[in-house]
Amino acid sequence: MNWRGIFTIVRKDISVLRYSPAVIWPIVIVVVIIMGLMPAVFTVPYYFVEIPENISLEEGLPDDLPEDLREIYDLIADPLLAQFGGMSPQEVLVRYFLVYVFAPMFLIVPVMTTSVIAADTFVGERERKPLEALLHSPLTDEELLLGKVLAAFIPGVVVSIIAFVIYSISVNALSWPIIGAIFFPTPIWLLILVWVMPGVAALGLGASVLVSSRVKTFQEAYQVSGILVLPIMGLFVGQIFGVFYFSLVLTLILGVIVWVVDVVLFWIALEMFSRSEMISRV
Amino acid sequence: MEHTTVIHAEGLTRHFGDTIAVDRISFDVQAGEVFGFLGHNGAGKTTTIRVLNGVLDATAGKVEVLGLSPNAQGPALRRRTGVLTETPSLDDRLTARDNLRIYANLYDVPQDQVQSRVDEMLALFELSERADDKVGEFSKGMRQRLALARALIHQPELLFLDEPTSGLDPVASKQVRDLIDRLSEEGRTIFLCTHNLTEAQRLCDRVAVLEEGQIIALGNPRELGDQMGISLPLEIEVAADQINAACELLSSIEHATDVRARGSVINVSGLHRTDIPLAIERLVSTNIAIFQVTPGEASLESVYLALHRDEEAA
Repeated sequence: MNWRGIFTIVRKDISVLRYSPAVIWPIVIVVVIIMGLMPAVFTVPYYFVEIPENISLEEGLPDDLPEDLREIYDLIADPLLAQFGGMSPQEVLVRYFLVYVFAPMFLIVPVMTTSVIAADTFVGERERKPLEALLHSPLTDEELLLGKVLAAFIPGVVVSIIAFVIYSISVNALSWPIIGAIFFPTPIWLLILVWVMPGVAALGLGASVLVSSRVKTFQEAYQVSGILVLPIMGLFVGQIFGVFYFSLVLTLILGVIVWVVDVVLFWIALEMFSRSEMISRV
Repeated sequence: MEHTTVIHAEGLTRHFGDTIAVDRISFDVQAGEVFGFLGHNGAGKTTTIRVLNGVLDATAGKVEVLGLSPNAQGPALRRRTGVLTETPSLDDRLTARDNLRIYANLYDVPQDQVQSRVDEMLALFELSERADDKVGEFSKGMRQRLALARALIHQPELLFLDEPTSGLDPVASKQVRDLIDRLSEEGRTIFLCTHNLTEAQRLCDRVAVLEEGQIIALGNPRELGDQMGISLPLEIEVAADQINAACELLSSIEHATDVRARGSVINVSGLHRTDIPLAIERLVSTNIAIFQVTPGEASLESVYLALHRDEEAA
């Protein structure tokens, strides 16, 4: 393996990203909205909800719980509700939304970051032409693919870690008036960070690599890869309606599924990626 | 002088679906030669470069470049070749220096030489003052020079140049042509794709004329002119007092279309190369004193146009 060549591509692609507003802005906007603003939307209103002080959830939902809150509680899966025993209704809601419901939303960051970067490095570069000179370089097809993949994967993971830190700070700060303690990140979120997030980043990347040989423009590649957000939204909606929740076991299983899909995607990508095919489209 | 074959192509063919881009072409290029590959846009020139450099697989035929198979040994081959692509293929968002540094690393220039090699190339191509400017701000000529510098950063043995002066103004074109001349003098083998016939005539030792993926003529411009019976200009200096007699004799030669005298020099147009001995013989046989005979070259443009007339007629 020509590691010098591979890391030259990684460094080049990452340094070029700094001058690519079409890549940077979608990432910044997604991180700010999902990791910074949305937690506020789901936390701040509970500062102002009046709930009788003597309400406890240890013996199920009390009869005097306000109707609108009851509707939300009805959606929370029973095993999860049992874990919240002893907490105030506000704390239950804040923990429910910020720890569980938002877990899939966080996964939008890696999938979106890697797919937008990969769309730029694979298809955008072809559109702008520098790809042709690269294809004439002495790198093998595998080295070229690995360089391009790492150039999207590394920033994708770094951006996701930054998003995680931003989310941790905003969650603890926003929930402080209700919970009064630093409780985030929880073990489930740490598992998502180290096990699921890199897999999801690779998923966005693998999809973009496959799409790149079929589309002509950066925008087209980005939009097609964006379809990956749909299953993530499915996880979000599934939790909202109490179909499942992000337990440690579910998170582990989700990670296994994602990595298996990744292996299949990259195997197909490696089979399909050919210099001949790429240059024919330049 | 012993010739080493740098490129050997035999029956080289490349299809794209039902379209035949390159159709059973065969040719050899010798070391140190500037070999011109002429043809209209879409004649198959760029596809041929891509196949020869192992970037595109050949559909059929045998190809060997620098003793390597482009298909099976692409990376090893590309380490020894440099390519100026039809569009400069530079990264506009990076500086000239960064563009060169990246390719120095990709082509495995020793780490401790990268900086000096980049500086040397920037100086050679007169880009040192703009080294740290983004390439997006460069003129077409500067971009072309930078792309040429990039193609040479690893000192390749064989250089593929695809339309090196396309879209350049006359001054920038001349700069690029002078650079190619310089590279040729250094003994580099150059495979030059162009549809600029004047450029090919000036720079190339031999040319292949490509038409719809097939080579329809191969040789140096003079050989091709002979083969095609193309006329060439002839300049003859005779004794001043015999100028009228000489003009009369030369006008009587079959292909002579225009005979003009200026002082003691006569310019004859329309003659074929094979007419030259006849012209001299007639002058000598009538005791006209000849001081100098200078045959011109058949213009590649005439050859090219004649070839295409023949093709269309066929």
